[in-house]
Amino acid sequence: VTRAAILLLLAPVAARAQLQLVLVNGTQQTPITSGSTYKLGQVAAGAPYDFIVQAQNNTTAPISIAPNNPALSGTDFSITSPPPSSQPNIAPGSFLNVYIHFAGGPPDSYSASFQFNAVGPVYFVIVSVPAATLTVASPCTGPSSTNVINFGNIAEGQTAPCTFVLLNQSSQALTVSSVSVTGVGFLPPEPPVAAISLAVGGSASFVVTFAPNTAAVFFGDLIVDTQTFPLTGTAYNPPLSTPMLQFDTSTPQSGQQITLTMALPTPAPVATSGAVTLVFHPDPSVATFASGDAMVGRFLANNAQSAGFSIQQGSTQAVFAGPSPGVFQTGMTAGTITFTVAVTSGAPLSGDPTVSITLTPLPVYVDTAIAAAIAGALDISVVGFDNTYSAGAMSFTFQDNLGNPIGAGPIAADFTSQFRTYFTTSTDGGGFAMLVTFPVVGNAAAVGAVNIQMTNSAGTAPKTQLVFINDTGGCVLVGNVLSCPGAPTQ
Amino acid sequence: MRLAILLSAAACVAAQSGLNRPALGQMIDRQQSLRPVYGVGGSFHVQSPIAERVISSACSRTLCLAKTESSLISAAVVTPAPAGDAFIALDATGATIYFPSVQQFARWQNGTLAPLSLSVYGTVLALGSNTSGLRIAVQRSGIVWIVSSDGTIFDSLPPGAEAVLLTANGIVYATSSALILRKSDGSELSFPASGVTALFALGDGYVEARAGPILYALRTIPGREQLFQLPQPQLGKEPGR
Repeated sequence: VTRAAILLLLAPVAARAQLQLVLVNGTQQTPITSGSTYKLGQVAAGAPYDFIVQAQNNTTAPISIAPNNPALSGTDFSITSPPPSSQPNIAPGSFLNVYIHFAGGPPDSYSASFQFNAVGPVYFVIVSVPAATLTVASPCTGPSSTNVINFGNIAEGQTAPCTFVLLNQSSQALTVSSVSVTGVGFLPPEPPVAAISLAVGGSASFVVTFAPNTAAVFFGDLIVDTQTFPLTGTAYNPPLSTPMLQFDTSTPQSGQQITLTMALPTPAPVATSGAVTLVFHPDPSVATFASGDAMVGRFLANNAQSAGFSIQQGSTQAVFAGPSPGVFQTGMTAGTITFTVAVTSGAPLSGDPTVSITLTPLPVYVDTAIAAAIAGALDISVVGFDNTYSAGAMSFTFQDNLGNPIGAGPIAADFTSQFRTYFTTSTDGGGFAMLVTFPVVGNAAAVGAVNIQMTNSAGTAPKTQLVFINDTGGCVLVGNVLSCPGAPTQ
Repeated sequence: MRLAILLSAAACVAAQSGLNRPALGQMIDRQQSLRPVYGVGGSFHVQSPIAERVISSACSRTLCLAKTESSLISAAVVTPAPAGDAFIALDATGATIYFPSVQQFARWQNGTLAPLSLSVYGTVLALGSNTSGLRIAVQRSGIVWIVSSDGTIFDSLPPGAEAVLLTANGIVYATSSALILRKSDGSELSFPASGVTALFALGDGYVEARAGPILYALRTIPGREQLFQLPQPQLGKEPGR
């Protein structure tokens, strides 16, 4: 008896358990009651409109969805989701959103009937009213089939103003109540648009400007009353004018330290950084030897082939990093050094600034030379470089302490094979330290000086005159008292 | 007078001729590492460090000597020495050294360090050896004097002279804005280089000048004087061979 009574009490409650429908129209939510009509407002002629009917189960039991529900009828209205009877019920405390789409049409009043289980029918009404036609001038394009207006690609920091025109192509006067713009990077309409009355065939214009402050793709909306036109525009880093690589000498040669500077014809549009890289290509005549010139093609600041640089926004001058900024050494091998520029951040390059300098073959360069008279011999020491790797022929002209020549004339010698052997394994490019010892019979100290000349494939170097110094020995320490004659020097 | 010299090209070739790498000397880099330097003026090839925490050094054709906090280093020879800085004057057989921390002159030879019975009035700034013997740069009342070991005055430097190095052929000193080479005839050459605080004998005919992050190499060879800059290998990126 008790169980039967409970069933009797519950049955009427279950039978009345119904969905609660809510109209979700933008940010507004309106409870729906059967038999009522809901005016959704006006849309521009031809413009679509979307809204939601939310079916809520506010009970503690599942509510089954009746077959073929929800149901909608009305010209140009359709349920986009969910399909009818796509799920058996709505769980307690849950809800189901029913998305309804109005396709739009000519100016008219449109209505639809909606039913969901026992709720309904309810009626939705949308009024399609004549609307102004929007057009846009170059550089903008659109509106597209989805009403998108594209401002195109412009450089960061630049602006792209586009003129928009609202045209009344309907047969009756129109009023445009508001025009607004949303989205970062897009400026409000100029002049500001308040209510505009457009006579038949009349028009009004305004300007919207795309003003990106960084390189990115921007999105916004142009809202004309109920019509929304998505806006888009792309900003890119503006290119760097082609840098000019310059050197502090117009006659680069082997054995030099040269300062590289980099200037721009026009100020950098944004702060930019990158690196200059130099690559050495030996002259074909020395290519078989020149694999070991470790001194060429290196910046002094880091002893590396690349030097970082930075350019401030608005500047025309690149600043190289580190001490000795931009200074590089040309090495001791004939050939070509090619400089390339790469940007790692900031503005991209607009052109190829690559330049090369040619290091022509030179006669042998003598850096230091010492002639010393030692017991029974004369030592001649020469440090220098031969950027052709072809040295060998030498001549020596000795003089006595009065400057008179000794012997019949210059003594010729050919060290070509020794030089070739040395350069084959050298890691110092064309650099060398040469010691030539002449055996002497008699008093070597009577030899006063020697003129030496070296010849390579590029010619004969100027004479180097060396005055012989005697081997004076070192300091003498007696007890703790010192006597120092000093080191032999040139 | 006739000299009996073997004037024969064949003798030159067959006898004692040799080719080697152009060794310039040694430099102290910004990290206080001692590095051999090869090449010629303007084309320097800096090698990997051979000693660390080097305070001063001097190098010539025949000898290189470096001072660390507590020792002198020459090739593989390490000699205990008074703490701190040292001013080094190389000659043909060794070096005369002044240790400011103990105000002591000493003679280094073949790895042995012996104190010298020598003292001068003033603050010692540099030592040098040449054919005139030992020369000492001392500062007295703000003026730098170049004197002999017995106190005889050879020369003086203008007010404002800062770092000083005595070479075989002259004097190198720094002012606030330049590096000055005073040659043996008294004439001077000036090279723009501001902020030079220390000078070392890089090798025969070359002086290393340290000016903050910049390392200069001054070629002092008569008639070939020129100021260069030294390459500075990055830490962990040693030059290849």
